[in-house]
Amino acid sequence: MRKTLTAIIIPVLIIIGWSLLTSFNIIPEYILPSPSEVLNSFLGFLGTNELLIDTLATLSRVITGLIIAAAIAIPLGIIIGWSKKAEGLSNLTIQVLRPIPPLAWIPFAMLWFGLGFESAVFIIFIGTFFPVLINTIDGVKRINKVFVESAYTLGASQSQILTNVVMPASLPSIFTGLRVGIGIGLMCTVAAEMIAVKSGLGYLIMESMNLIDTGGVIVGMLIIGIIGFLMDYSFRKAEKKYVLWSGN
Amino acid sequence: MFTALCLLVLIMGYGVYSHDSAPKDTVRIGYLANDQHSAALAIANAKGMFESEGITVELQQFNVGADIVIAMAAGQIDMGYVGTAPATMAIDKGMPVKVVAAVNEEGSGIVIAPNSTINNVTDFEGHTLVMPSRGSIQDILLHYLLQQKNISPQSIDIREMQTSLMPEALQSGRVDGYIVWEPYVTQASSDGYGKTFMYSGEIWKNHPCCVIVAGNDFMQNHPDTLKKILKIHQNATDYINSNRDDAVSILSKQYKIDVNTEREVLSHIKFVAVPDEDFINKDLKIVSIQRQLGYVGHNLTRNEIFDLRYLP
Amino acid sequence: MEWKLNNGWNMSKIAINNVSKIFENKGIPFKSLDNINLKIKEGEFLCILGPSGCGKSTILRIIAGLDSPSIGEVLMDNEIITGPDHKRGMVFQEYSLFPWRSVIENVAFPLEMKGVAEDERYKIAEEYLKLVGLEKFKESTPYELSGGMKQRVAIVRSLAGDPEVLLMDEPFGALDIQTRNQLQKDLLKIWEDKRKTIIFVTHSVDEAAFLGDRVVVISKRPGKIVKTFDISIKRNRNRLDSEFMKLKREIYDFLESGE
Repeated sequence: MRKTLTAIIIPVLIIIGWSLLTSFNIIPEYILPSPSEVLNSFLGFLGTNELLIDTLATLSRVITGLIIAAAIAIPLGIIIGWSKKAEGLSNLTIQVLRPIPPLAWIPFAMLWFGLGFESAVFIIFIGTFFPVLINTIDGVKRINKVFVESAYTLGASQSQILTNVVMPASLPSIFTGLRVGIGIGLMCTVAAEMIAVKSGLGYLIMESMNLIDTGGVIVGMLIIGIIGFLMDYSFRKAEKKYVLWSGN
Repeated sequence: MFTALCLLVLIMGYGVYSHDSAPKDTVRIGYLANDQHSAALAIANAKGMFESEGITVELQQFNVGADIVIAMAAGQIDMGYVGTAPATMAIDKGMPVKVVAAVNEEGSGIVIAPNSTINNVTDFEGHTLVMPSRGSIQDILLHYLLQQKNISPQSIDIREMQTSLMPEALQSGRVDGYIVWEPYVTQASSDGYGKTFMYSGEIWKNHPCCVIVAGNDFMQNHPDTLKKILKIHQNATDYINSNRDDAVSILSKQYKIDVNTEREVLSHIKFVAVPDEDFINKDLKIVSIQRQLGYVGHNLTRNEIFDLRYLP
Repeated sequence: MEWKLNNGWNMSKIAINNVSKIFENKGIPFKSLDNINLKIKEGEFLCILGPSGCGKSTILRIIAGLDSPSIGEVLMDNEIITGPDHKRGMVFQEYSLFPWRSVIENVAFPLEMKGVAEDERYKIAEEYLKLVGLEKFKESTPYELSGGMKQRVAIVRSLAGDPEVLLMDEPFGALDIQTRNQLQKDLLKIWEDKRKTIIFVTHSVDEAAFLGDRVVVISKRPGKIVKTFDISIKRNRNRLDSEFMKLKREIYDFLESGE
């Protein structure tokens, strides 16, 4: 109970400050709509089912992008973290590709995947891939040697070590990578949904911007923020359950 | 370690100080990137018309019309060459701006692939057509066209896309057509990857397109400057119409397009500086379409939109 | 067994021939081991005694196959050792139980690697846990165990791999004296039962004397074998026994004189 109270102090203060700023016209409504304006926009959206559709659309793209990214980045990260040769081969390429903003990949996304879902997933994939990869590589490198050496002397082959020792031992780092990745994936929604999609929270934000509906922009922002919070929370819960041992 | 820190501070400092802060008494004018509707501005600038009147201007490029009006409301710019659609949406939302002059009529078009099988508007049914953004004049034009032809917008897959991606989308077959402003319409033909299906003038003759908006503050505090600028705008507009060759030459350098294509582009834009009765009425019609589509909440009156007292 | 007969009577389970190890630290090479020659009999309990940093762990790692000699070779059953495998199991000083597996899953690990079916390997693993009285903790996580318990599990985990040689690198070094003494007794019991060859590294004179059939003393770096003590005191050695104390005195004297 106490924890919840402490957590909401700042948000409440922000809302109060926000109401004050807008009610005395210190900041005009078309720049920053008042909380009640935003509420109105929100209720307006609710009436048309649009929010639900947009939220589901964005979620499905983000989750799909993350899963594909994880499916490639985790095994790849394990190999690169494990093999110095693999690291030497891939390091330059990874470090050069990594800082390229997902937005920059938009023309390619359209070329290769067309319009809509696949393109959006691709952009999200680009955003989430590198955090997962880098954290996995890091997790593998940080494994205590004693686990690997014990496994060898217990008769494990290299491939058995990769699946039975390296993979579980680097799970905490992998989880971190996934958690960071999904946060970035959500941030990429706006970029991802620029390629002629018809739904989604990023699309909602852009549309609202184009129609000079600042209330709508804020609704979109808030929902993305809340989703991000919920996902982070679920990840942490899952982490606690599956990598309980890592806290020790 | 210390040198690294110093370097960081230097880079930060460069970022902070290289931010262009306009000296006082500069008029900041916004315009859309790669949009030849604001050619009058380009001509005025190129021919030093502002300097001759002792006015310093700072031109700022924007990507979308909505950004221009928002920047104006925030006091970042004083005037803007912008589509009439974002202008009326802004006024509807209570932004303290007004339309003070016209800029052009027509000047957009629908582009399709060279070998496209689309011959009439009805052929678009079941196909994909993209436009720059919702709320843009192209959006309005499309709805106008479909209303005229009695086609339901739902029967066409209409989407939004940045203009820079449109050529690629058409060439790769991802979209079957797009509606966009000049020069993109003519360029598609001259570069060979598209052909013009319909010019916006064929959709709606003499339809208003871009206007000049000015912030109320600027109008109140600098009425004389505004008058001078609108006079310059009129002169530049006339120049394009009466000295076409020279205008083509200047603009083709400005927009980096070859002379022939530039000539063709200009032929599809009708440059006007003073909004006549027809312009105003058609603009009100646009507002009513915006109301239908839910982009605008009130039925704006002409006085709420226009303030034409500063025109020469 | 006949084909293993090598130099007549002496069937060396492990033969270390002229082994030297050179490491590089920031580009400067230094010799860690200098010309080690050692033959270890099957079923022998050999202790390697020496100060910290003398390279005794390196000898063990080379036998295990986790490191390779710079000069010379190590043979097991007359074949050159090229890498680690289950035939030479190793117990480390560091706690090495896999924290993501329960106690019984840890012990079952080597059996799982061999491909033993699930029910079978848990049955076998439980038997091994009984050897050290920890069957009640089979579902516990390593986190929940004390240091002594962890090392006990580590030992039976290695045994579950059915090694021919058990290499132990100061396995009781991190434990208190009482626990250490208890584990030494447990280890001897297991050894007497299973008769594996054990090579045990320690820096404790008391521990070496208590456990070993033979104690090999390694000098400070670069490590050389400087003395071998053959211990004939009968098993179930008693620390208060005068013969035992004399042996320890002998070893201490030697170490001091060598300083």
